[in-house]
Amino acid sequence: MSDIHDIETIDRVLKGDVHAFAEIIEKYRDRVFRYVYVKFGNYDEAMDITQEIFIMTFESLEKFRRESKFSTWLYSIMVNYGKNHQKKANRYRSVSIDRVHGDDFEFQLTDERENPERQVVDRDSLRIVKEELFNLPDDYREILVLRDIEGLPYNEISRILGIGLSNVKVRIHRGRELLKERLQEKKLI
Amino acid sequence: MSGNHIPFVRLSRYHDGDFFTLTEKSEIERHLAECPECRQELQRVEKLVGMLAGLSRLGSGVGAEFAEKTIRLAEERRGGRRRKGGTLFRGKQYVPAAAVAAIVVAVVGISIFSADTLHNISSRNVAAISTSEGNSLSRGDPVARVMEMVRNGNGTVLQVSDSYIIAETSPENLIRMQSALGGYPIRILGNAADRGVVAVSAGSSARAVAPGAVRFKVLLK
Repeated sequence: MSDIHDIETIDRVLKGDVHAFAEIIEKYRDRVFRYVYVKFGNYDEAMDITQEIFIMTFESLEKFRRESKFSTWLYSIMVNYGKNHQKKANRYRSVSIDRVHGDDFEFQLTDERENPERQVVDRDSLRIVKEELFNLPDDYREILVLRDIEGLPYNEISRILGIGLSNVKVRIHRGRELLKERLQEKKLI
Repeated sequence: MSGNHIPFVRLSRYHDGDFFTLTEKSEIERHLAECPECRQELQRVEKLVGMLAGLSRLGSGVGAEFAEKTIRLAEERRGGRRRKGGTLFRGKQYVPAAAVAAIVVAVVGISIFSADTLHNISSRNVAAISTSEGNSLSRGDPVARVMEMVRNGNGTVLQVSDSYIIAETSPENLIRMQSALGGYPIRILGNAADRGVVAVSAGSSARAVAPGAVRFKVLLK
């Protein structure tokens, strides 16, 4: 579904076909989930927040002025919601127990049925990469999700995070360097 | 540069095709041609980026029902706001005087309110409470009824599934709901946010709850 298709779907929702919004959720659900999950490190919490982000997007659709791609606008809502949730959590000294005791969330690999033998090897590596990514400082963790997991270009990340392009680049490359050092210690790279 | 190795950050930029000038690009490529360590470091960049891209296969594992529930919840909340704004519901909500009095008694009775004692305190007071809902929750769609009661108490529905609803509301509204819920059990998840205490849910994560509100789970099955 292209951005044009997104806009057509949004137009249908705004004209009253609210169930068309399911197409938007289906398309972006896992992308939003991945960002939130990497940011907060707990599956249940990530699912709650993902749901809240889509509800907020649904409620704000009329405010989408189409000056950017819909995905950029959605990701901005996602990032801002994440920031606010984190502030609120910090205020109440919320601690994710999963972060302390290890995450019991099993990978849901979308292509697992296609090549099950290869997945056994990949699953272990990916789990280590995921754990080390979780341990990076928040700014680096967040930007590596957007850049290297979701594959967004620098300028779009700059708009989503509301920071300058040079700052985006510094965070990406420094974040990769930190992660590389940690994965080298684990002899994974 | 030929005497020293290329810093990782610069190789990472090169990997992304982000270099200041074509001269810089040529300079890096000349060095790479003659430096095996830097070529190996560039391979690490490529492998690292490849592994991160592999995490894009990580999915939530939920199906189409997630979208349906999310839309239903969004519509419920929108409906609640319209009612509060008077668009759909223009009349005043009728609350019997006896119910108001009973709620006041209940609130006074739980002036020192804690998650551990909520169940016992509310059990003592619930019997005395008469509400406009009565036991009507057992009739019709329980999800819709719970949502309506939460909204009417200025609460927030946080999550809906086939088997449970998680929401936050005031202690007095929760007591009213417990009275009306009949056979649907309620599990208290936390209530001490106003004192800055973290609420620990029945799952494994600790969450902050709104000041003064109680977070709870209604088991539907």
